[in-house]
Amino acid sequence: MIEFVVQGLALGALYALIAIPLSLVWLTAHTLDLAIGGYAVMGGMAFATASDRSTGLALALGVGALCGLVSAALFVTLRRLGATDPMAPGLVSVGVLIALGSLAQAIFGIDPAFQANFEVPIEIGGVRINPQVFLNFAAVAVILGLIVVVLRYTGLGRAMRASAASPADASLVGIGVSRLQSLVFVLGGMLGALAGALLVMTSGLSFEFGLGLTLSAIGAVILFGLRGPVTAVLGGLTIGVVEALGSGYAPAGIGPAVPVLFVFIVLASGVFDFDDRTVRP
Amino acid sequence: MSLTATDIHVAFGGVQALDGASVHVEPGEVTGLIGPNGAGKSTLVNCLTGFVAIDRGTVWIDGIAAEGSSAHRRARRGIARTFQTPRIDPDASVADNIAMARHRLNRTRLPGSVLRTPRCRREERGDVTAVHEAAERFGLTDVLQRRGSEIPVWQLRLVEVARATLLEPRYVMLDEPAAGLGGAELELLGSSIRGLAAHGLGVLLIEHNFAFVRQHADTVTVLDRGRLLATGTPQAIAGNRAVVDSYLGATA
Amino acid sequence: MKSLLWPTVVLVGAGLALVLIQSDPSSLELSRVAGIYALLALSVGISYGQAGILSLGQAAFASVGAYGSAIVTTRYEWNPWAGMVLAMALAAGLAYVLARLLVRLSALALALATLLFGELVHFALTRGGDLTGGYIGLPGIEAPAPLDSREGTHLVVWAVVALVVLIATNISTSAEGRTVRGAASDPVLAGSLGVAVPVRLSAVFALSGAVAGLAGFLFAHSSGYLAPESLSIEMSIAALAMAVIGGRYSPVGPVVGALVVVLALDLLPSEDLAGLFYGLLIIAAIVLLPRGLLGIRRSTPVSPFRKKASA
Ligand SMILES: Nc1ncnc2c1ncn2[C@@H]1O[C@H](COP(=O)(O)OP(=O)(O)OP(=O)(O)O)[C@@H](O)[C@H]1O
Ligand SMILES: [Mg+2]
Repeated sequence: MIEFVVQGLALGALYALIAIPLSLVWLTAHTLDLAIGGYAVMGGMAFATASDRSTGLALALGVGALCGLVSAALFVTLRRLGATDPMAPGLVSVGVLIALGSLAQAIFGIDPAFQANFEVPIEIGGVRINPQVFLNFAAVAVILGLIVVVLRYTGLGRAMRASAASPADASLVGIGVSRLQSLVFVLGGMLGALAGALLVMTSGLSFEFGLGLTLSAIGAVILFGLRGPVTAVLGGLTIGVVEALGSGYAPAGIGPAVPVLFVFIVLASGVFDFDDRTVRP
Repeated sequence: MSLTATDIHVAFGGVQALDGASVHVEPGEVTGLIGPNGAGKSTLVNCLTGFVAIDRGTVWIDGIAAEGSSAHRRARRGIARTFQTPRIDPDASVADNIAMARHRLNRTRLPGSVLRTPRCRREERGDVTAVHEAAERFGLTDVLQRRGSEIPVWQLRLVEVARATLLEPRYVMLDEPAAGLGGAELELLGSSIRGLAAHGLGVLLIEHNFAFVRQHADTVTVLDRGRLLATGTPQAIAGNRAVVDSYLGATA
Repeated sequence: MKSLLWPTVVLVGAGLALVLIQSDPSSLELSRVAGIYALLALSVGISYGQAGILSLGQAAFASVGAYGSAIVTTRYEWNPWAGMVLAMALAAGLAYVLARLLVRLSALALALATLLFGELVHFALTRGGDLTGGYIGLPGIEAPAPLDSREGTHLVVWAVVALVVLIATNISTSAEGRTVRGAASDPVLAGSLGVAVPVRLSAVFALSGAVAGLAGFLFAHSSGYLAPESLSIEMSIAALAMAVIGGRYSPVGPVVGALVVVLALDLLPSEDLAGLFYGLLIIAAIVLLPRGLLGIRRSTPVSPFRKKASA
C-alpha cells in the first residue's frame, strides 16, 4: 500500500510539474496549453539521447523552450487574429500535441527510454523506496517555490496577475501582455521537458505518452478548481496517487484508465467548468 | 385562470432581491409593474418564467403551483417573455430569430426534418406566413432579412416582442419593451400591447415611463426594495402617497 | 436546398466517374478511405456546425459501431446488415447519453470531455479480452455483397456520402436546424421560447454519432479486420480538421475537406508522419482559416425565407 502511494507520489510530482505551467497559462492567457505532454515527450526523448545527464538536461530544456516558443507564436498569432475564446488556442494546442508525438516518433524511434538513476531502492521503515522520488519532489518544490515568490513579490508576478484579471487594463498600464503570455508558454515548454527528463529516470517514457500526460495534467489543474500553481501541484500529486492505487488495486489492466475516468467524472459532474455559464437572464 | 406570484423571496448571495413580492396577471388585462432601479422587477419576471429559483413563496399558473417546472416547460405552457437586455442570435436573420418561437407550435423534430415529411414542409410554410404577419404588426418587414447583429437596440426590443407573441402564449411578460423607442414606435407598441390584451392574453408590462403605463395598464403593481409597495388602478397609484414619495416623485 | 444539391451531384458524379474510368486497385482504395473520412468529417459538420458541439471523439463512435457490428457478425453470426443497424444504434445511443451529460458544460470542457471519452473507449477496446481481441483486434470480418469487391465498396461508400450530404442539407435548411443553431448560440433565449435545449442538441449529436457509427461499419466490413488503432484519436482530429477546412456550416464542406486532405496525405512519404500532418493541418485550419473556426457566418437562412427575399 505505502509503496504504491510512494510510487504514485513520484509520478504525481511529475504531473504537478507539468500542471504548474498549465495553471499559469490559464492565469495569464485564459486558455489551456494541451501540448504540454508533447513537450515532455520531446524533452524526455532528447534527454535520453545524450551521453551524460547534464548535457541531456541542457538539450531537453533547449528542445522544450523551442517547442514552447512555437506554441507561444501560435497563441499570439491567434489572439492577433481576434480569437478571444479559450477554444481556438486550445484546439491549436491539440494539433501541436499530435504533431509533437509524431515528430518524436520520427526522430527518436518507437523504443521507450528508461534510464534509472538509482540501481537499488533504499529501505525506510521497511518500505522500499526509489530515491528518485526525492529528486522529483525536490524539483517540484524548488520550482513551485520560485514561481510563488515571483508571483507574489515581483513586478513580473504583479503583471501576470494583472493580465489575468484584465488584459485590457494590463496593457494600459504598459505591460506587454503578449510578451508575458509568450514567456509563460516558453516556461511551459521547459518545465514540460524537465518533467519528461525526470520521467525517463523514474519509470520510462515513449513517444505515445503525450496525450496521457496532458490528460493527467489537466486533471491535476482542474481537480481543485484551476486557481493557481499551488492547487495544481496538489492536484498532480492526487492524480499520481490515484493512478498508482488504480494500477495496484483496480481489476487487472484498467489501472491506466483510472485517472482518465477520474478526470472525465470530474468534468461530467459539472462541479468544475472553464467558463461560467450561469447567465443572468 | 391567472398567473400569480405570492410572497416571493429571492436572495443572490447577500442581496435580498425579492423580499415578499407579489403580483397578479389576469388574462385580458395589462398589469404594469413599476418601481425604482434594483427594486426586483426583472427578478420577479425571472421567477414567474422559471429562470431564477425561488427561496420562499409560490408561483401559480392557472391555479397550479409551478414549483420545479423549468423555464422551457413554462414557455410551453404558454408563458412568454422578453429580456431587458435583448437577446438575439447575431448571425441569424431577423426572420429566423423571430421564427424560433414557432418551435412551440410545430411538431416536427429532427427525424421529420431529416426526411422532409409533408408535415415538415407544411409547418415551414406556416412559419413564413406567421413571421411575415408578426413583422408587419411591429413594423419589421424591411429588416427581416438583416442579421441580428445589424439592427439597432430599440428595434431589437420590437423583435423580442414580435417573437414572444409568435409563441402564441396565454401570458406575456415584457421587460421594459419601450426603452429607447421614439414616438411612432411607442404608439405602435402601445396599441399592440392593448391588442394582445384584447385577444385575451395576460400582459405584464415593466416600464419606467409612468405616462406610458398609465395609458395602457389596467392595474399597476409597485415594487420597492423587493417588497410589494402598492397595487391598484393607475389613477389610485398616481395618487398613492407612498408611491409618489419613494418612486414617482415629480413625474406624477 | 436546390443550390446545394447540384454541386453535390456534380462533385460526387465526377468522383465516381473518374475513379471508375481509372479503376486500378490503389485509386479505388484511396477513394474508399476518402469516403469513410468524408463520413466522419460530415458527422463533425453536423454536430459542430449545427449543434455547436465540438467533438474530439468522433472516431470513438465509429470504433464503437465498427466493433459492435464486427463482434455480432463474427461471434454470433448476425447478418452484416443487421450489424450495420446495430452499429448506428450503438453509436447514436452512446452519443445521446454522452451529450445529455455534457451539453451544459462550456465549449472547452465539452471538447475535453469528448477527448477523454475517446481515450476511455480506446482503453476499453484494448482491454476487452476475447470479446474485442485486445490490442490485436478482430480479423476475418465478413464483407457482405457489394462490399466484397473494390468497385462495389467504392460505389456504396460514396452513395452513403451523398445520402448523408442530403441529410445534412435537410437539417441545416430546416426549421429544426434553425432551432438547434439558436439553442447552441443562446440556450437562455431558446429556453424562454420553449425549446428543451439539452434534448434538441443531444438529438443532433446522436445523429452525428449514427453517421460516425455507419462510417465505422463501412470501414470494418470493407477492410475485413479491426484494431483499436484503426479508428484512433488521430482520426478524430483529422475529421475535425477536414470539417473545419472544408467549412463546417456547409453540408458539402466536410466532403471537400476530406478529399483535399486524403489526397494530400497520399503524397506523404511515410505513414509515420501522419500524426505530424494531421497536427499541422488542424493548426493551419484554425490559424490560416480563422474565419472557418472563429467567425464564418453560422446561419443558413431557412429556405422559405430566403426564397421570399429573392422574389
Ligand atoms: N443573477 C443575479 N445575481 C446577483 N444579483 C442579482 C442577479 N439578478 C439581480 N440581482 C440583483 O437583485 C436586485 C434586483 O435586480 P432586478 O434586476 O430585479 O431589478 P429591477 O427592478 O429589474 O431594476 P431595473 O429597473 O434596473 O431593471 C439588484 O440589486 C440586482 O443587482
Ligand atoms: Mg430590470
